[in-house]
Amino acid sequence: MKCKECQELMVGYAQEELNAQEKEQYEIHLQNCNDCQSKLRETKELLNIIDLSSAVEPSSALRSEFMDSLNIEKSRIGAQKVREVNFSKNFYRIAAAVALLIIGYSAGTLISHGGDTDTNELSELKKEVQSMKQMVMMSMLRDESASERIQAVNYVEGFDEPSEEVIETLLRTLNEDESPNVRRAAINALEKFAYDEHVRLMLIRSFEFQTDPVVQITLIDLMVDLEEKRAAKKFQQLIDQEDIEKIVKNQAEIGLQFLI
Amino acid sequence: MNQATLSDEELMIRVREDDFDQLVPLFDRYQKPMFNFFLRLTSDTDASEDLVQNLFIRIMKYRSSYRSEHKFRTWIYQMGRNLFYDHYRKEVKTREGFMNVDKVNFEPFSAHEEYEVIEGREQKLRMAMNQLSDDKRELLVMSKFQGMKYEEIAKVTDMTVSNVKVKVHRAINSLREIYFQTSEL
Repeated sequence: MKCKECQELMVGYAQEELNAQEKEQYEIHLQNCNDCQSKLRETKELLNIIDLSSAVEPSSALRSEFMDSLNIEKSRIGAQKVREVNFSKNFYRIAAAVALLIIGYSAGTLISHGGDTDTNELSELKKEVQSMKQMVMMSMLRDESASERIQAVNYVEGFDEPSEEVIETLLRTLNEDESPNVRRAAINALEKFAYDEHVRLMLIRSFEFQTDPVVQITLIDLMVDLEEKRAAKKFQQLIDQEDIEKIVKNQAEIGLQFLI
Repeated sequence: MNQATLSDEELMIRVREDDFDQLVPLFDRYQKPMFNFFLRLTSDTDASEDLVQNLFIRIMKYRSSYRSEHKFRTWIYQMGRNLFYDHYRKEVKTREGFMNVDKVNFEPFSAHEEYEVIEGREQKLRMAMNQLSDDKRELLVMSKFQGMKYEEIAKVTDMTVSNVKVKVHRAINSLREIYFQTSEL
């Protein structure tokens, strides 16, 4: 056996990984080769040095930063769940209102036409329901309690074709509402209309109006989900800006990797 | 239910179902090994802590991609590797000479040894490690420093077990050459 072949076995030999045959081959060569003997000594010494090398403790700040990001994530998930529950509750409220409206309308048409309601009137009715839902939403958005306003924002999920007015109201809520939770709900509601270029541009611009880390992260996530490459510049600004929370910077960095 | 008795996989399944508190024991189990994994790869304490932080953010974000039949440890190393490559791709242009190594305070492992002796040896080992090629360094770190078996490394790196074994052996050989060459200088 030549030195070159032996070298292939050396590390295995030093780590006791060879089978009996390989081991014997290696040892026969080793007896007659000074060079391989010294290399084996070095290998064993190196492996010993590696074994002695100990692991380092990370700083305690690492754990507290982790707990911060965990709590932010938890509150985001929590808000989503609340949203789902509230929606079902509100659904019944709206359904009751709609039922009343239908009863009223049918009664009205019964009296005036003596029975038949044609398709024209049905679509008329649909429109009225829609505008009524919008009215409910707009008035709830003026409520003092943030949870009422969140519910208002969530009503939008029930709208098939919200009017321009509704979209503009949502965009205004996103940038101006005093509660970060309401702003976040607005992001979630607007997500559905992000196919609209205007909504999309406004969402990108919205980074300029946000200071709350949770809102910032929600917006970052949405941009990543939408694969909106034009937001990359905003991400970079968050990373470079001094007064931004580290967790937001981290999220922006991760997001940037997906967008570039 | 006592978190301490749950396996990594059981905890991660709960995290996947949005029970985020179960990530805390996982963090406690893995922050040190993952920090040291990154530290051996980067020789940069701050960057390694950032990488651990980002790793756990990724775990939260991509929790639904965890498959319960996979070992959590394999999964976290796969995520950690990807994260490191993303980070490294960005850094590689700005990276300076290999000798620019952070001073890392390793804990003394034996009361009989002088601190300077340990520090000197660690420094020399790190400098030698930094001269290895990236893939050799990574395999060496997983096999010798993280204590991973060839089978596990094979899963993480998507290589065959025999291929991993050959490559780890070669990496140790290269490190030996570098390490003892520098002592002669």
